[in-house]
Amino acid sequence: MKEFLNRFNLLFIILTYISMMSALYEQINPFLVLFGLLCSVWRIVNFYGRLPLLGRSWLNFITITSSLVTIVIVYPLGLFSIMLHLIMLGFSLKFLELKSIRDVHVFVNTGFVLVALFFIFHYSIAMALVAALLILLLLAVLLSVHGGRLAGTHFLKLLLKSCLLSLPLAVLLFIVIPRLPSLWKMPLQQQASTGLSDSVSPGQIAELSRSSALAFRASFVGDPVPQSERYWRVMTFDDFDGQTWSASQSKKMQEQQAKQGLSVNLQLSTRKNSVDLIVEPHYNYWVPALDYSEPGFGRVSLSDYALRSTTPVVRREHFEVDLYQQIETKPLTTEERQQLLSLPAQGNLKTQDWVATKVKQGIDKQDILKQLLNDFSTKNFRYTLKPPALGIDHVDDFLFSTQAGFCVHYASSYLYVARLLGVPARMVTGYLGGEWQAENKFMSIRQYDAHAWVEIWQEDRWLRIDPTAYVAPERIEWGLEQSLSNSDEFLADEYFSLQKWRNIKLLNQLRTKIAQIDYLWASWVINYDNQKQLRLLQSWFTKVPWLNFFSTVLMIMLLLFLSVFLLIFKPWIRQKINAEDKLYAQLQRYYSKRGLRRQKGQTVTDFCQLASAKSSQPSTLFKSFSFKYNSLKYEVNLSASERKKRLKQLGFICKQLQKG
Amino acid sequence: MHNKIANILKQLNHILLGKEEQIKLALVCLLADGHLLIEDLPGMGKTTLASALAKTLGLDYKRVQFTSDMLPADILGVSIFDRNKQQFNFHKGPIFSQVLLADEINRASPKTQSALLEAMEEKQISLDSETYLLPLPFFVIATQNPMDQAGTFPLPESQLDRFMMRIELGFPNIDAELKMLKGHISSNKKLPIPAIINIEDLRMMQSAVRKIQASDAVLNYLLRLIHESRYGGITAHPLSPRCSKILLQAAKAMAFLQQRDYLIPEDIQAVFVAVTEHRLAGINSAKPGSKTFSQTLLDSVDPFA
Repeated sequence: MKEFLNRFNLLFIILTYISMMSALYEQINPFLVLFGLLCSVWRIVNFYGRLPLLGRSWLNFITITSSLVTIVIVYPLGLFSIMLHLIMLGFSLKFLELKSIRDVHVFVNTGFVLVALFFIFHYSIAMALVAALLILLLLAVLLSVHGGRLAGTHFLKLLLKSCLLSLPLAVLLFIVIPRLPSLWKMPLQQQASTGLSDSVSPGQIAELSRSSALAFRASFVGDPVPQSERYWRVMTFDDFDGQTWSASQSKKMQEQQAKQGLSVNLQLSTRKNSVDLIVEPHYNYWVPALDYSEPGFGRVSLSDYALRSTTPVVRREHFEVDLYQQIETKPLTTEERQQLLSLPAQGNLKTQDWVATKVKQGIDKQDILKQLLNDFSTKNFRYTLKPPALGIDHVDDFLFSTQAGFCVHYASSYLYVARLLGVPARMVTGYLGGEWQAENKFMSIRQYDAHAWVEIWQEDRWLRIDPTAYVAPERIEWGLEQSLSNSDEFLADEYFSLQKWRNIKLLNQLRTKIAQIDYLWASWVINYDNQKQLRLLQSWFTKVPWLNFFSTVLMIMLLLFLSVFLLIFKPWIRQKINAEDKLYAQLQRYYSKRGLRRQKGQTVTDFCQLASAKSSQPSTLFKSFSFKYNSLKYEVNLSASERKKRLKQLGFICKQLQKG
Repeated sequence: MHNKIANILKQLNHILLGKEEQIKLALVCLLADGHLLIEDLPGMGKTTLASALAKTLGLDYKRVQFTSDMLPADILGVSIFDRNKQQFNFHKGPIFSQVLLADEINRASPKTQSALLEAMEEKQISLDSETYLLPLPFFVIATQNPMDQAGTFPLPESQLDRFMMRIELGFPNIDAELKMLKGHISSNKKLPIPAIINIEDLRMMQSAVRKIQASDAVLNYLLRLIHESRYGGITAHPLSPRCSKILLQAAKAMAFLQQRDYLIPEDIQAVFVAVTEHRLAGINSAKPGSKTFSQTLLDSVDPFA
């Protein structure tokens, strides 16, 4: 078999293959990678004539076996993963039958599908660049196969030129084409959900504070909410087993209902602001909420004022939330009150004694709680992300011996005391603060902003108390970094994080710039949804009032298709039909009705000769028709007046010949 | 000038009865400055046509009967030592004439054929490190027997290509043959055939042929025919660019014969079979009764497009 690829082509194909593999390596089983490399090596050896390409039956055998093995290996990871692996397997197996241009086409097209899949896993702008590179590589493969022997610079020029030429069209399509909802449901990844978890015990949030990963971003329509008010509520915990705070049964029920889209009706009034959230994927349902957020499209409210998305947030998702000033509350029911006061029977005797003595002294409940908070700020309590380990009696150990910890420790102890005193209270976890980027008017909230605070029921409403504020007020005012300014606990593990080195000015500027670009990318590309599209296009079209939005989209699409049509068929290139040809065609039609069809190779002379046998007109008339036709069509340098004269004559003869 | 053409045709038609088409083609070939190959069975009048053509055009001609034991020197000439002058003298062979009648060319050995065909292309011969120019105009009118006859060496494709046209005479129709037998014209060879034009006239005619104009439309038709031969899957021997040049030349000569100063597709069709068939078919003569390659091409390309 003649080799249709040259060395350059094959090298390019394999390079593309390896890049594709490495781009998706996190998602792909290493065995498959190994197998794919084997396939490509086989093809290289084949190229040098040492090995044959496999026959059809061998190929079938290998394909079926490897598919089955792949399915068996990947099965536990779910349907989506199986699909991905099978496509990748096909991509790899193509090497074994790469024997014509057509096979290269299949290879490249499969590559495009894989690039599309790549976008399911990665959203950032850097990854988009990687994907663009992959696409460029695939196109280069196509070009190298078809382009023959183009010199290097020529090749590159042609490639880039054709890509650049198609770029405006791609942008236009991106802006104009309606977003379809995904046709299939993305199965929830087997990935650990990131961010806050379903329960909290002292120690957990400290782990989050080691991560500078972005949790979500927010921008406000009105003025930004002040720093001290930025308590982004995520979870509420009302059940305590002595070690861990978690949600009670009734709360869990509510969470389940929220997944099905059932919202708790909140009586909100006085709209004050609205916030745009872009939430990073965390493979969970929560949506951060400021007090008090209204439910809306794609999200529901819980009775604790938190928000839940109706689908897991598996990609960057955009929420527009209206904020309200006031909320109408109902008194607690007996069950609720019971739940909010429940404590484990055993343990923490010292704390219980301390509370009991205070109560005996006749001090008011609220005053006892205030005193506790005062103790936090005046006594020897310390804010640290590396607290000493606590024993079984968490609260006792913390309050009376270690006295060192972070938000969860303080919140947990405060809660315990409040409940002992009979004040209904609950723990709230979420994020506090966020870094405000003044230039682009948005704030980024990172994982290390995770926080826990307390709400107590007072005067028939929930009152937010943040015990951490008393021990480390700068945590609330300035964020975690400030509160840890004297130690190296901040982002202890992330040596290379730009967050850590923000006191170096240049790096800090760079970091802010990157954050800005990434924000724009997220808000305008990743989350460019139907609503945004509608708004953008509408804002354009309001300037031209007679344009209706939908008809315009339709018009643009039509124009696009029309231009593509015209480009392909190029009707303007079609030759103008000459007048003499029209007459001749007329004559042909006339005689074809009478059973004389012109044969393909027949000249006008032959045709007229045959026609004269069918007609009563004199044969000289036919002869003069053919003569005049030929002279009109083929004579060079015919003057315009002469041509006109002859055309007239030809027309006359043509009429005569159609008479019988 | 057209008078003279009419006279030539009249005289030739008088000598060879009922072969107007072939006579026209033969004349076209010479007007287009090409060599002519006439193929048919013995006794069909090949030699008669060839010699009548040469004489009528007023060209000096020599006739060589090719045989299997012929050597190149028999055609080209030979150098002989002159004892008096103490040097070699070149004795010109029959090729040094304006028209060479190469009778039964395929009976000669390939070596001899090659010697002739070389001269046809270059219009000169090289012998013993000397180059001798042939007189101009120089035509070769060759006749050959069909391949299946005994004692023939088929001309290879590359050498067939040197002939502008190959024509077949075919049997005369009954009327013409009857006329011949009745002795309407005596086949007495002694009757002299008068020259109707001279070399000067011939040159003028040839330059007039070159001046015939071809419009883009007709050239387009010609090129479509050529293209079809290359990519239409009809033959294994596609037509070369040289062939398209030759075809245009011959068609122009045909237009000249029709007293027109521009080319039409009819002209191309008229010469197409004679010009291309021997190139398309190669050494395989078409089987009698089957559609020839060139006719298939003509039928598959539409002049009206």
